[in-house]
Amino acid sequence: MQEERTPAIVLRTRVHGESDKIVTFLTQDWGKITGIAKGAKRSRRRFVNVLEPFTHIHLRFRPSRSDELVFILGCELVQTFRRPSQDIHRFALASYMVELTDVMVAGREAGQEIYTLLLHGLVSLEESSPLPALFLPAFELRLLVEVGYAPNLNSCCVCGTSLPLRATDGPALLFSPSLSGLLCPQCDTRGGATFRLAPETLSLLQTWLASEHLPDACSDGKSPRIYQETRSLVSRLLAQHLPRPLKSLAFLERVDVSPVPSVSRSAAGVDDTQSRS
Amino acid sequence: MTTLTPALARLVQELGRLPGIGEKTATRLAMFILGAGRDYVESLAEAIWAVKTETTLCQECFGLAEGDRCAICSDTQRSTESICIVEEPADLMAVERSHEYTGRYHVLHGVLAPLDGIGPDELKIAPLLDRLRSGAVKEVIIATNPNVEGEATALYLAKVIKPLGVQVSRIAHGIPMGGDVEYTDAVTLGRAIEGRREM
Repeated sequence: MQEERTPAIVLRTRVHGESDKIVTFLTQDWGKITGIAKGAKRSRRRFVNVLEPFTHIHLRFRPSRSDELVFILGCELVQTFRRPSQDIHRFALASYMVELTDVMVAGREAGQEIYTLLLHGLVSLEESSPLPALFLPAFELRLLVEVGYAPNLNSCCVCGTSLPLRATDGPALLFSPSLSGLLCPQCDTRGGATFRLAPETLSLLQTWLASEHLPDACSDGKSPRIYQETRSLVSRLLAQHLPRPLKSLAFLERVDVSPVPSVSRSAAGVDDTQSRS
Repeated sequence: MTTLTPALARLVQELGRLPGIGEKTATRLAMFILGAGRDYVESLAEAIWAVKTETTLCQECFGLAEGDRCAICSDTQRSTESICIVEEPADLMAVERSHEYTGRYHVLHGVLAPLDGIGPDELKIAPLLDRLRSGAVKEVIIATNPNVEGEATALYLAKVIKPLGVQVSRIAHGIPMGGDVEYTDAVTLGRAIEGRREM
């Protein structure tokens, strides 16, 4: 088969045998692919410094007729993200972001939007200083949207009644993680465990959903309640859809230096202090 | 149809599992062992068994040892004021080959690798901090590999060691001796420029 070329981001690498590496990439044109780089562990030319996690490269590979594993011919460095090597919190964030993307994307069906989202996320990690407090929930929500798990924040997910958009001065609305959407007052007993969303939080989340790219999750002026509710909602949505727990989560929580009280992302349940009685 | 006897075939199979050994080389080695004297074969078998049964981890630095302490930690001539932190025992041997370092070591047995679920608790970091709290150590040299995970591990170590009042340094990165600037990759060259020193 002929040689193919595509921009790609390295998601993970593992040593195979004595000197080969098995590498998983998220590519711009081929979705998520895994390939073998022969001799990569000892390479001083073809693969030096280009198969590290989070690296942005131009990938050359040859697809296999009978196997999912492609043959990696070579890589050229486009951009190496150095901040994760200089800041332990950004390293933990980058690890979490690539693992989350890896887990949420099943295979080669991944679209260009997910590639662009991850690339923008890594560029933000590299360039933003300080990092917006809601950077990670914004990335997580956009990823959920791109893989087809967008929550319904415009109408009641049971009866379909339209709910007020950007109702910044209205009452708090109920959100059902299990139904992945809002509930109107008439349906609020049918959504299982729910929790309340302040109108300001809802407005922010609707802005993120309407955005085509990773939104500017600037923290200036946002209240602690918005932080808590946003992180809570996204964590619960992820818990609904993640096929397995993320290995990088424990490390991220250990080095988390968010400027707001941490909401445990590993808390998959919805029965916490914000749950409806 | 194989021409090897069952015992020979088994030896070829076991030797073929060693790194760098293919079937052809395994067969050559097996034929050599078959033709060697009984003393050599017994010595070889004993050596293989001994390396597995008698090798332990040093209770102080977690390098390879026979007994509670390794030869380096038992050596009273070596400085106790400096500790070089490496990922694996093989890295310790590599630093020793340089003949430039005369202090002690600490082997982490890995690096931080969140994607593989390896955090600080999975590495020998807690015993390292215990050693540093004893007060004898004045400098720590972090010699983890210069890749993303090695750098992150170095950052983490610096973060937890500096509050103990111990000086922390990182091994230099750059162009290897005998290397060629023209053929050096951009990342390494960038690090070399960044880490330049006055002459």
